[in-house]
Amino acid sequence: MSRASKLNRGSQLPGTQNADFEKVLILGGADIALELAKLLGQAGMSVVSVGPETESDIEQFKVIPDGVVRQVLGTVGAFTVLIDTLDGSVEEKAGFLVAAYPGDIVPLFEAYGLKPSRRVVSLSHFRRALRTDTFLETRKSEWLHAAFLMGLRGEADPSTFNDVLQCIEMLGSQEKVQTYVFTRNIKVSEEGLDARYRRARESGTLFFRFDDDGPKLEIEGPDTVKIMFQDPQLLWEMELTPDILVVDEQESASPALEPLFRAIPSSRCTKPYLTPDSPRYPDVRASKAGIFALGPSRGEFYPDKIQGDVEAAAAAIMSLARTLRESAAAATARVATDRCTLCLTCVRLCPHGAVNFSSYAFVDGLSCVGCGICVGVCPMMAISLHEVALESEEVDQDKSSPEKDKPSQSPGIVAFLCRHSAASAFEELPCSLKMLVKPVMVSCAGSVKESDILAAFLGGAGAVIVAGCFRGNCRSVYGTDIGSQRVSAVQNILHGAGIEMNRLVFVQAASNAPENIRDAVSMLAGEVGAS
Amino acid sequence: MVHAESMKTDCLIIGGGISGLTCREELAKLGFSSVVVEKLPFLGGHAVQFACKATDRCRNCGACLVVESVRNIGASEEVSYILSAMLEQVRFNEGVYESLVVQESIRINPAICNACGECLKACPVPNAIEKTPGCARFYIQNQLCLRAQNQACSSCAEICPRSAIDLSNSGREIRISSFAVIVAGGFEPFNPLLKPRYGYRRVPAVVTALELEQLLRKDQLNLPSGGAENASIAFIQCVGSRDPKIGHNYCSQVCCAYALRLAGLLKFKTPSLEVTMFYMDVQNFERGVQPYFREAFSQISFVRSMPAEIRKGEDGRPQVLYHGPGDERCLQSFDLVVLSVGMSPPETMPALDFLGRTADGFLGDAGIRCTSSAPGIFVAGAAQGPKSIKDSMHHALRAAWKTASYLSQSNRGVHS
Repeated sequence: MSRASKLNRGSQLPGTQNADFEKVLILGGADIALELAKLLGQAGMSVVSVGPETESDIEQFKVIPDGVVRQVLGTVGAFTVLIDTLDGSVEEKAGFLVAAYPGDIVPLFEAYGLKPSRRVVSLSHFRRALRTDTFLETRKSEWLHAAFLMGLRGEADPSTFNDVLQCIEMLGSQEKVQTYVFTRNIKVSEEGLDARYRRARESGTLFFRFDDDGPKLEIEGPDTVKIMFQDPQLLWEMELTPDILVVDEQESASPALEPLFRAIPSSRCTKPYLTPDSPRYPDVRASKAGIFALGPSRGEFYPDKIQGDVEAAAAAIMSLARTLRESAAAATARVATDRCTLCLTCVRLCPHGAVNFSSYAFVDGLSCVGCGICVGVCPMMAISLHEVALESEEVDQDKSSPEKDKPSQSPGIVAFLCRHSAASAFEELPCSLKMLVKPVMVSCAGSVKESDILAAFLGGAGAVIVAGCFRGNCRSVYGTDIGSQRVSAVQNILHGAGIEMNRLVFVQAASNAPENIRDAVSMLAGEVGAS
Repeated sequence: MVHAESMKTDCLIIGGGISGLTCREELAKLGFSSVVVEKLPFLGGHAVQFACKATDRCRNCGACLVVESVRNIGASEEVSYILSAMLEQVRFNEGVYESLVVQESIRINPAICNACGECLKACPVPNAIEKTPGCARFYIQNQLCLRAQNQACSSCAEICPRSAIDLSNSGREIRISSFAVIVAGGFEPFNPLLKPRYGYRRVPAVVTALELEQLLRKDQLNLPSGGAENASIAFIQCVGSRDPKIGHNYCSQVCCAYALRLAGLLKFKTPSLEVTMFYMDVQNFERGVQPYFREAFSQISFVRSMPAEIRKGEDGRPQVLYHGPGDERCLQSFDLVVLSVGMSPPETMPALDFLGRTADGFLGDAGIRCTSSAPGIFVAGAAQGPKSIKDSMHHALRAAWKTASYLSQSNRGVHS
């Protein structure tokens, strides 16, 4: 089946798929949209920006000004996005979606017990004033004392410190300015920040670091605040009434991500960001294919890093587009249409948002990573894994035959091993332990069903291990949680039937951490051998 | 040198660590071929030797991904990578980079070896045969092997049941033509001997965090237990970072992360362990870092002071001398002192001396970019500046994109 006919299924307008899947919808960020549009334009993709009005001479670049995304439907290559505009609702089709919303910035006045005023301002307010020169032009020839509060209520980050340094650097060109920074930790873990911090210190900025909430802030007049503290090094009591007090801000992802969260079932574990907080998601790719998050949408606020995300998104989109064009991916999970009752359990639980439905549920081949979580949750047993099924059949035969081959051996241990982590961890076990185990390779710990575990016992296993990735490391976000819950459920069944529950264990492993599997095998080998 | 061979590829990748491997994978997805040259006899660089820091859950270090990435390559056949090889020369000639690579002898054939361990038992020199990190096979350390010093030893080759060892193999020269080059040479761990006051190699039980990683990975860390006192361990932060005296005017960006993760892992394994961390500032290393810090601050004693000296105490244990709050002189003994060494720029590669360096001494352009002063040469990962495993993977994805754009804009690339 060609890619075009595959896409037809989800698309309402046959004949437009080609144009649609080469199209990228960028949500929220004007500047970033433009830069990404340039990169993608060079590669022959067209870009639609939903957000602030932007002028550009780039070909194949369209803006839906002040559009607000209401709903996202479909899968990679065939997304349908419903957008509210001032002129009513529009429906836009696209192959790829990029969330490039600017971060949500909340000044921490309240946390410090302060109110914004002429002399008490937020960091971005002050930075804007310095940039547009309005502040420096109106200043008098007297000394100016500017104090910054940073990371004393909640943790600061390098992007906050970068902003503070920019202000100090801009003030540095002025005479008669004294700057102070009150903070817990100087956040310099980005390129160039430590050198700039040293320069600021050498040119006279005073940095005071505290291990607690920092100085006491006393409101003296309508817009003057007295800062009282003990110098952490000299242990002297100090007082300062700055001419300007700059309060830091808390940055978070934009609330406008909500409709995208609804399009990715596993996003309930990733909120308030769009990508999982896991080493398996190191870049802009979300857990659902075709959806990308830049900068604040994935919890990255540092300007150079946001810039880097633009290139990363271009790379990720182009390589996925190439897969789409060549229709290289084959669906690994398939729904038997005659058994599907449209209960939508799979639609709700697929971590990758790969299951769609019309008169029955169907799996999008490019979005499916073959984790098999849907197979386990389908109450009608209507879903099966392909490709992977072939592999495990071979292992299954292996598993069912040991007693026939070697009747004198102990019943043995069956271990269901996640192919990402536990399978390679198992390889590291000493041979003496490995030979006690019948390994069964699975696509994810979350794909091991209760019936699989019971079948292993029925097949003569003395004990069963289900081994998955560590929590938070699962490629399918919550496969480990599903796997461990299933094991608890079966332990209860066994307990009810009067069978020792400790014959079944769930362990977490990593390709470089075989210890938990090793300990489980040693422990169970003793149990199995003793009986 | 017996053989002289030549190869053609779209992109030559210098370095087979996580950045180089990620570049290779992403370039392949974008439709371009590549050849990876690695100076060590194994792939995966530093990170493949790191321990998993998971406690009851993943702690986000990403070291497992490096092992997986090495294993995935082992499984696929079309991949070109040249191990134990050094880049001798790079010349730009009519839009093509002509590189000369010299490979040391590979005496154990990785395709045949199954890590049975017979050679290890037979070898008369300790550590001359080592396990390949992340793979079930062995390699010979050429600098230790007697054969490499022209002595007549062939114990390993004689005993190998699969005849995987060929001692006559004596290296080769390979000429590689490529349209682009990615420099993914990684970093050098800071050498703590350059800070003699920390007593490394002089005071017992003073190790680098890298050594601790490897001990934990091999499950060989033995802390004293069962005594009247709980075992204690100290982490010294910023060793070789944020230190203008040694010319490292930058934060290494990874040490707070790995030290807190290692401390968390040790506390998880041995809750009675007493952990102290000497530091200047705690750096953020993952999003939503606050709950992590709260947990760390409840489990670990934080001392905001850089130790003046580490010496051997009367009981033989390392003693840390530091200035406490109010400048009083403090002396504290530990069972183990871990130096959180930072990242230094990659060793000089004479063949690439023409590339510019950043203000911090790393390769390529500043600003976490992937470009360099030479068109067609890109930089990926920690070679450009300190980066975590995750950040290196992200940077490598960008470098692959830059390379692919360069290759397709100039209509180069055998597969484009």
